[in-house]
Amino acid sequence: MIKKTIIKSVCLVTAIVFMTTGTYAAGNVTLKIDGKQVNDAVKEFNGKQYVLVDSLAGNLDGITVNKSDKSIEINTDTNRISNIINKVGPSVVGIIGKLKESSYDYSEYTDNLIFGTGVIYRSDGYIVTNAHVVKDMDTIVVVLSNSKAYKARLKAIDDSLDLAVIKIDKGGLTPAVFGDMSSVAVGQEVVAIGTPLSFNLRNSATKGIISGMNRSADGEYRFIQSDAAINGGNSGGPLVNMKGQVIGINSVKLVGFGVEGLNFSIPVDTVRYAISHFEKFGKIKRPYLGIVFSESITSQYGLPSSVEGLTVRDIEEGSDAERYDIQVDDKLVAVNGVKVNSIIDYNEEMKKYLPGDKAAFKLLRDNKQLTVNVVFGEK
Amino acid sequence: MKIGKTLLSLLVVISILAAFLTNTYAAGNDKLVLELRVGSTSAKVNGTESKVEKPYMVNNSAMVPLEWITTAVGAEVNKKDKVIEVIYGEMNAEITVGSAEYIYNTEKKKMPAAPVVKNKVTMVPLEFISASFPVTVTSDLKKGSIKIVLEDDGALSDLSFLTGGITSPKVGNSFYGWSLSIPSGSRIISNSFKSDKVGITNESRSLYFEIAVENKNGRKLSELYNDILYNSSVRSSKMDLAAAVPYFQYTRLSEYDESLRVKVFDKGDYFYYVTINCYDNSVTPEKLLTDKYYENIMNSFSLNYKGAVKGVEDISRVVQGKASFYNYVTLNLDAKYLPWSINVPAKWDKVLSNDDPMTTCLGLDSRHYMRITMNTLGDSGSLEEYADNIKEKYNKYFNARVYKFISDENATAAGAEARNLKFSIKQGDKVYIMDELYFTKGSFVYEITVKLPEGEYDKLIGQFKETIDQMDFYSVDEGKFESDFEKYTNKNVGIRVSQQDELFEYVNKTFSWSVKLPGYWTKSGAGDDSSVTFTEPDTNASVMVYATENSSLSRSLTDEEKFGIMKVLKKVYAATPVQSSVNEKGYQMRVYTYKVESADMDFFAAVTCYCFEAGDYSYCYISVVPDLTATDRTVNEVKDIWKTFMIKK
Repeated sequence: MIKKTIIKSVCLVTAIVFMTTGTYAAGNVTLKIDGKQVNDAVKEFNGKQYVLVDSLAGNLDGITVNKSDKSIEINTDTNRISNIINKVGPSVVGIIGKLKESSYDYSEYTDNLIFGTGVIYRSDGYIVTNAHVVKDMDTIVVVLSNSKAYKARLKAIDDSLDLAVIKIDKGGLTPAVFGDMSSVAVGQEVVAIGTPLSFNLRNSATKGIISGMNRSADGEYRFIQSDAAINGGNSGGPLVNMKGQVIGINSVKLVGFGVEGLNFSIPVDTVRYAISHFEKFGKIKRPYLGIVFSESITSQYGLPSSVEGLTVRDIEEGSDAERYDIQVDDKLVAVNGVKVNSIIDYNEEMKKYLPGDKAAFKLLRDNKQLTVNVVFGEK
Repeated sequence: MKIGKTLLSLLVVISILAAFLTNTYAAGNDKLVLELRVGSTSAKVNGTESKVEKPYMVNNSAMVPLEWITTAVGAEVNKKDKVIEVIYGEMNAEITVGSAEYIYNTEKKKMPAAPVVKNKVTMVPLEFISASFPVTVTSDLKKGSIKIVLEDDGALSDLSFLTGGITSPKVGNSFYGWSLSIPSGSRIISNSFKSDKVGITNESRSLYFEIAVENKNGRKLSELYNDILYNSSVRSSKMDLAAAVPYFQYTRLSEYDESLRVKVFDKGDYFYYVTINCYDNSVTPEKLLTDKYYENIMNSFSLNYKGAVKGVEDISRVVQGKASFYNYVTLNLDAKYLPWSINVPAKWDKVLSNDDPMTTCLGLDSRHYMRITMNTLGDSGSLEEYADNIKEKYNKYFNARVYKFISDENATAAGAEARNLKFSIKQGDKVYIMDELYFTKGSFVYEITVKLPEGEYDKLIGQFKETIDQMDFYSVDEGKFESDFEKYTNKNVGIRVSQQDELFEYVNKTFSWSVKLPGYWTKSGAGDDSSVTFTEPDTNASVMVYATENSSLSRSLTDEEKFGIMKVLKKVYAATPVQSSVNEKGYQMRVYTYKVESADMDFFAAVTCYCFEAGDYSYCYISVVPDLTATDRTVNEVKDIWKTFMIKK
């Protein structure tokens, strides 16, 4: 069995530090972890050196401070992955259903069963998954990690974000802990957890590293790229950091043609944004102006460029944008001071606004700069 | 993508089956116990302490915190101002803060006291909880203790609704009157709209069963037997016409090298095909025939099932003699629409299969049917104009020798105002009545043509009209549907050869020929210059030019072998040509003249093929003039086009 090390004492932590990769210099009171200096981490007390657990937790994946249940978890390397799976496993569900007859993939000659994975985010049965997993499902069935199955209802769905929320009428579930995007960095180790429909949870976890924060082949939003293998059954499942926190929702739909060894996950910030809109409005409420943008070829390839901004390619007839001094071929440089160079930049920025909100569009027309104040409409 | 999905779903199926075998889905004991005390903020969930808004008494009713309970049981709560919707499983209650009345599913009900909001918590009478949730409530209100127990959390104990799993030892079809024993763990994976074709699979035994029922349509069992022996790689076969139910049986290897055993029974109006297919390579066709296990399954096939027998699962989708046909329209790879469905007599079939996704023919056979086509109004501003336009075209383009106008009236169809055009046409030696209804639903025009033999019209038209009146229409994303339809039409329907109506010279450089046609003719074709089709859109008269390179091999081939279309005319349309030869355009030509009269394909036309060799190529020039539009004008137009056909040297 996997041994879970939970130590509820701060004092013992100092001993553990020597066992991990941290170096500790006695006397001049500097703490370096993997060569990186951590300030204000060591205190001397009665001639002994004490290391602040919070500063360790902020720098070492294996150490987690859980304020809610007043515990400190230290996971040594050998058991790390299994501990993470044990921790997240109960929050990961399998989703299975029959294809709707109206779905293009429906066939009279196959069983029409499709499946994916989901993540419980509220103890009373709210589950987030990919839109493409549940979009064409006739009856949605959720299978928990204890193999019990429940009928689910589709609560909200958004194709562009490829996210959906489903609900089972079951309480007392273990919600997943969502991580913080600001701590996600290229090179960090992650685990993708897939459908427990194989009834062998451990086998359906794959490990990898974060390889980038990038766009996918046809995405409208930013994604986390990793090399943790994701297959069809993992779609909708969590990408978890070494603290067992969900940092993304895996989506195989985003794998582009000719893209190999790269897997895409929807960042947890986007997931949070979707969930909050879904719960408040039942859908994603997008600010809308009716401007169609095109991005420069340099931006499409992500090349550095002196040309900045998005070009206004078209203004939809009868749209709100017609009311403002915005013209075709104008360049949108910034929204409320935030630079936008690609359509993804713009879409990501738009997550901050709701219909009815105001924003200042900094435009470039014939090399002259102008600011247009807009009020977003709704489509 | 598609292959991946199929493979994955297979894996899931296997794991689900494994779960069935190990009983993983059996609902375990997951009892939920909630304990509250009147006047106390401390409560318990399964023995664990929890803080709550304290319950209190109103008119002998204990008021309890709603959200604490719904969170614990996992019910859904949606709030909109004072109205709170509570959903749990099939239960949907709508309560209003300040009102004792509430809606339970669609029923009006009353609770002993009105819900009240206290510190953002909705307090409801305990009676509401016990009446709405599948819980057992025990309370001792004198002592102030309340206990709510949820025994069954709604976990599914059986997923057969998902997998199509069959729980009874036999399946049967009460409409067609058959039943069959199947191995345990089998699942239904396909069931046609009237259950005349049913597919059952059993993964653990690598077996697939199919029971198909076919109308005899005047065929004899022995004819069928001979056809099958002639066509397939049969390993063994036997026919018994003297049996109580005459049958024949054969075994063979499928295209995928899987063993098949097929038994065909002849009873009443139908042939019954029972197929056992084994995809385990170690089972040979011979084993399928001789092994007791498979023999028992085959012998269990009975033609005496009438329904309502214990232990037999009736899989018939026919209800009171009617079957529901759902018309799904697929115009491209990413959209499928369901604009309408119809309840048809179970005797009916989908007939005259065609490639037009907007058209469906349903009826008894190719002589008694209705064709339902969806279209957009196009340039017509109204249904009246649309129907007038059609009537005008009939008068202009239809051949008066076979076409006779009967009436033009206003009517109702499928609950809509409709135009009703009626006319008769002569096909072969028979006269048919064409009864057409035009009406609009949403932004689409429905054209429904009922075709019936003149002598049977009065007897049958009632049933057809009754069926049409029972059509159901669904809301679809009309804007998207219309734009997909437009794209489909632009891609698949021919385009005018020229913007002007005058003669236009079409030159085929690859195969060195040219032809002059009026600009309103359209060109369609597979994009390959070796076969080009021109069509007059109003008359459906057409000209096709096929070309193929000569080789040492092709020299020994007959025209029919060289040009597949001639074989189709013979095999599918049962048309035998009159052959002659002419010397035209400087070439010796073989001329084949067909009088196509295929009631089965609903196609009556005069077809002429000119076959000849010129330079490196063999050519086949075909003209087709449908009988219905064979006016002198059309016949001459087609003749004139042939006159302009030239081989360029």
